[in-house]
Amino acid sequence: MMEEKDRLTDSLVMQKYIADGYNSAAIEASNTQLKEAFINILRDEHLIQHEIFNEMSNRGWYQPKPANINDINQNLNKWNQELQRVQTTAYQRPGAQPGNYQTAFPQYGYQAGTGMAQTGSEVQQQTMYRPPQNPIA
Amino acid sequence: MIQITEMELLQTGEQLRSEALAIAKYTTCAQQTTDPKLQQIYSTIADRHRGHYETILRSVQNLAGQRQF
Repeated sequence: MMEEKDRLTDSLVMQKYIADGYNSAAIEASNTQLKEAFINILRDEHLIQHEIFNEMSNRGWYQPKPANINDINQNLNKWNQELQRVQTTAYQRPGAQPGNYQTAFPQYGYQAGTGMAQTGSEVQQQTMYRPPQNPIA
Repeated sequence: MIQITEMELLQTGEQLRSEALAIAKYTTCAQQTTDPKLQQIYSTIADRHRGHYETILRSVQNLAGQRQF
């Protein structure tokens, strides 16, 4: 007979497997309706997975170790530098207009307890980000 | 008119198989556990997987132009 922890762990593993399957199914789907159906179910599989995770976490059976603050800041610095590097490279194309892009781009950083960007207004971020167009629509 | 690809049929079969297994698994878990809260959670999750199965089946039936159950 399985114990409670084993059952929850088994459930978590199963949810990960099923979610992976829906991700593949959605990517491979040609039909828009079927793709939407797979994506909607994929989302519900994630919700189920998170529900199981919360039950395990509340019982002390699954407690991921928090990252070290120094490691977080070190990585954020590295990723900000990488972002600046790729943006600089992007504007070295012939005929590209750099404008004030470098000064306008928001810098992301770590703030304890918020997880939000350190600088850059919401409006500025919205104007900078353009989501890719859905090729199916 | 057939509106479904071979790949979609294959992926659908895989997912339906997983959903059927999930329904059986969570139903068994609900029966085995002695924790009332977990019993409720497992039962609800089994129902949700049953819903997924039916949704996919209906979608494919619609695409294949067959009558809905």
